Amino acid sequence: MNFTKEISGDITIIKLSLVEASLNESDEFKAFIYDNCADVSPKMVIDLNNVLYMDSSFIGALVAGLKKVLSKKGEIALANISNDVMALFEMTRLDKVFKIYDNTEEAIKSLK
Amino acid sequence: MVVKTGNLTLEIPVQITSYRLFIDQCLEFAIENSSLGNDFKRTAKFKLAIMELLTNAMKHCKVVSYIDIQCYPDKVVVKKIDSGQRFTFKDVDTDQHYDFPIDPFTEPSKINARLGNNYTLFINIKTKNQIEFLEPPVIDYLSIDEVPENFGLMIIKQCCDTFHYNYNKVLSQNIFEVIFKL
Repeated sequence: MNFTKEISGDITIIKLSLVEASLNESDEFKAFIYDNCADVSPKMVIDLNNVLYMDSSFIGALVAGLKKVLSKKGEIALANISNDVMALFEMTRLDKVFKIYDNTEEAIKSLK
Repeated sequence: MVVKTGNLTLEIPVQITSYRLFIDQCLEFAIENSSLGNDFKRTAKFKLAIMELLTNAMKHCKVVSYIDIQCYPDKVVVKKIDSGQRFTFKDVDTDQHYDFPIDPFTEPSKINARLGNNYTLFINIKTKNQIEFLEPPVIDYLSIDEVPENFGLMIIKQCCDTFHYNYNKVLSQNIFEVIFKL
């Protein structure tokens, strides 16, 4: 499994076991986010701890997921982003769009 | 794989199982044959650009494509070459559709090109077979609906010094050329 989820209260914590998050997994990931948007106001923390490489397709899937969650009045917070991946978020100005935290604890706290 | 002095050509598989292996091979070659490795930020951007070129190949080409790296004392030139579908775009302001070779081509002109939903990039049409991608302006999205879901060419442009698309009509080849000045 490339993605796993844990539930903590009303928050879904999604963990990526991928080192490379790319076109190969972007459709699957987008579907995974959508599948976890059944609730009203879904709250999600996405833990990117293992991800060292990310491409524009996977970033696109994250944006699509965020659009879906926001359309249901929910929230997404990202945690544990590596420096290289963070550089990608800054280049695309998505660091201003996503809520980004140093670790999952802070991300969970922000959604409570 | 073809290796000559200062030149490396790699075939891009239709499905890449490990980006990292491919990227590391390119980086290792560039570091051995140029001064690119002296700058940590530069190598990080080189890796990002290679990754995006690979994704571009897998997403759009559907045919055999290649990464070609040439190292010179003052620059590293990376080309992604394929014989797949030509690159096309629309002018945001006029909605005019552009295909290659651009006909009629009158003179170089800068336009805001639409490449997809919410996805635009400024380009300079240099000749009927060549465009240059220009530095994107700093954008602060006013709402989530404005955010694009495609970023590949924008990322490549921000990683390098110059970024061109060339259409070779004789060979029916698309060539994305990325230059890192040293």
